[in-house]
Amino acid sequence: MTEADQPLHVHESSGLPLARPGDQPRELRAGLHLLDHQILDPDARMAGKVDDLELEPADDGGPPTVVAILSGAGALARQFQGRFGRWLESVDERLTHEESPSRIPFSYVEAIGSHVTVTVHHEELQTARAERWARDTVIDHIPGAGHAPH
Amino acid sequence: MKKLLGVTLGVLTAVGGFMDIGDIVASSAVGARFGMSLAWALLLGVGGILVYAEMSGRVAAVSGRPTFDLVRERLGARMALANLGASFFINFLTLIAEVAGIAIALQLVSDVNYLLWLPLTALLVWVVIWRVKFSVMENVFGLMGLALIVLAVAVWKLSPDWSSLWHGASHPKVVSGEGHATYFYYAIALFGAAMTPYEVFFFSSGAVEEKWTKRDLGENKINVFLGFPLGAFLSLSLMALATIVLEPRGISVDKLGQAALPATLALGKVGLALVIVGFFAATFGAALETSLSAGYTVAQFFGWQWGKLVRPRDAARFHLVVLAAIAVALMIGLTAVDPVKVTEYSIVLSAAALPLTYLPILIVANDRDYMGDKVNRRFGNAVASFYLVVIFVVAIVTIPLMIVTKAGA
Repeated sequence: MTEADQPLHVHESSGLPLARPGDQPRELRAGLHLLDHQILDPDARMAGKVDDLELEPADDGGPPTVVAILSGAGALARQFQGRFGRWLESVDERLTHEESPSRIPFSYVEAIGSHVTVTVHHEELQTARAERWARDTVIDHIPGAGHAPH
Repeated sequence: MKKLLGVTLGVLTAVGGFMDIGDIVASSAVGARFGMSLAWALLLGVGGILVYAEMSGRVAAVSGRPTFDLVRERLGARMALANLGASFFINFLTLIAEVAGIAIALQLVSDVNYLLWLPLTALLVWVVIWRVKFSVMENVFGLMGLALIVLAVAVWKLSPDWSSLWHGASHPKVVSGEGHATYFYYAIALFGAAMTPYEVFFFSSGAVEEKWTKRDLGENKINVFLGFPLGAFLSLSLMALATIVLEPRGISVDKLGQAALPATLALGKVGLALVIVGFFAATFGAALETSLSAGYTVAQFFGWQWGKLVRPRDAARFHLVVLAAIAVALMIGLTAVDPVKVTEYSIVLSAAALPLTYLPILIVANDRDYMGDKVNRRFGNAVASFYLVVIFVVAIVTIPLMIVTKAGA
């Protein structure tokens, strides 16, 4: 991920509103302000981490642009080299029967602050599959699973 | 009343952190073997947890991010996974011991073997996490833990020679018959117990569960500066009781019941009853902290929905991790492993993993992007940096000391 450490003028290329209004437009570093951050959906539900980024090289040789956020075990696996990474990736592929992790095009990113807020509902993301599995096979069978805690 | 209940998160975190079964036995055992000569290690530890718990609570209140979220973001996926592996393992060892600890507290009042109580205590811990509102849980176990103040009353009732207690604490030296390595091994055990990472995992996640915002920073301070010193005060009381009663008689401590002896001697049956209620609350609190922390750390590493603010089915993976942790801890507990030995190892091992948890907190607490004007002050940074050095040194020498001393034998 060496490219990700380079500055990316995200707010200029996407017209992205920053998390704290009134701030000066600032230079975001994809490696620092995006990667490994918590993703929140429009209802403020936690919807995975920014596990990897899809970058597009600039034509003029300048810093690359972030085109999508990748999330889920398959994307996370790429951050690990060697046997563990390959193992995680293969497990993920077998479980999800898909090669690609959740891909959230950058135009769906609403704000970048403490969290990365996206305009997609968490249930629509690929990463919701494992959550659904845990819910359907175990948690929903326990009395009280649907009760609000207060 | 609301103000009073506002500090129970800190009290629960600290009582569960300082007075879990391993710490109860360790504080007593140290008092019985070394007198007050290791009190400094406990006080050094409480200073560290004060500084870092305050920071973790402040970051959680200002940015809504709990500690393991910071660990993942600042250390990256690979280092964070290493930390997750270590923290989860240590946490899990503690959970095994606490579930057994609750059962042993019940054995003390019932004369029914603790192994028979184990399934019930594990179920109770899980039911509280599954069904009880976070603030109710915090209030009930935080307030119940206050029964342990009886330990301080017992010290006072025994009317000890205060000046010799003070002299022992203020002139630390290795008592005759003990080696330097063993002395420092126990110093690390006390320091590590004070700074166990599950305290910040639980406290910062609790702050998010309680929906703290910038306006609650005062509450954060009060929680930290009342809770943790209280925990340390109770630990010191146990140590003093062992110094007064057990050391002169050459009684060593390796069981929970023995730690209750001096208070019983001082205050009779009422004293014993309160101590047992306190031990029950403290071990239960620690079991809640560690089992929730198992879920918090994993969910915060992977970005899953976590917490008790949503319905269990909306945080399914989080609850699955908590349930699995409790179930496996129960099964291991049923093999009759010695819970005291298990926590002693977990405390010392956690000392080796401390830097990976505390460094990211310090970095983010200084980041204006997230913290705005609530970043660390210069004094806070100086103290925190001092502790970071201590933590690194401790982390390096812990494992070799453990091997050399055969775990303090």
